[in-house]
Amino acid sequence: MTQRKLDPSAAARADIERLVRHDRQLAKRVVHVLGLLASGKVTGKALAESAKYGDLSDHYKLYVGLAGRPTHRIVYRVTPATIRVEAVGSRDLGLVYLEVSQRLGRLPAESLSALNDARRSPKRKRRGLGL
Amino acid sequence: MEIVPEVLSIREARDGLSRLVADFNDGETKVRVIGAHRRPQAVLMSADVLQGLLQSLEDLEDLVAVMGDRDGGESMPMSVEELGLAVGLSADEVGALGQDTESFEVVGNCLDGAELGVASSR
Repeated sequence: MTQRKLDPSAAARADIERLVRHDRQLAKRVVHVLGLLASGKVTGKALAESAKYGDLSDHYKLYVGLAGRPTHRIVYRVTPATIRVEAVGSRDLGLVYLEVSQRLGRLPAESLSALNDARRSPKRKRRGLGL
Repeated sequence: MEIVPEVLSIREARDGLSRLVADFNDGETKVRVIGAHRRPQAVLMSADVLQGLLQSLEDLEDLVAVMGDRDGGESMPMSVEELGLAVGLSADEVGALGQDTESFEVVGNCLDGAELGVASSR
């Protein structure tokens, strides 16, 4: 197994910091899983190109959640020395994938409304701050 | 957004609190200002306004983070322990990562049909 360093983007760090503030248990799970990922003990599933999310085929997703409910995704890509983490967020309405696509400048124009809808979804509102 | 400039006295706010809250239901009144001696001291706002403000704050945080990526650009590879501390976990929490769970399990074909995942009980 190859040991890599973690290289979270600033936006991904902000994602995790938000989790620390609002769901500390889940945040600890995310960091733990990132450690497993960096050590090669788990791997994610390759993403693909889609009309909704654009081309994320160079990235992978990994499920994470609590109480057996994989509510969140870690989206990352692998470099020879690092795990570049692009986002950690809710799968609800495809939010995390839409966020990654926008952060990478790959979001199809027609998906912008889907991104806004996902950011304002009732489920996110119920959780308080849009996690 | 309509902001009612009138400053309600504390007594007016107290006596009319039910009506003030009900006024938010019309969707037009968003904020009421309250203060002793008609000096603005506090604000009563609809939950929708608060949610919108929080959403805007989150969007700004994301924007700042993305801009930071663009400006700085450089990677900052780190260990999981360094990441844990960087995002606000305590040293004790970082040291105990993974100890709150019995085991990890592979989650198959869940939600969006993917084959691999990691989850466990709280």
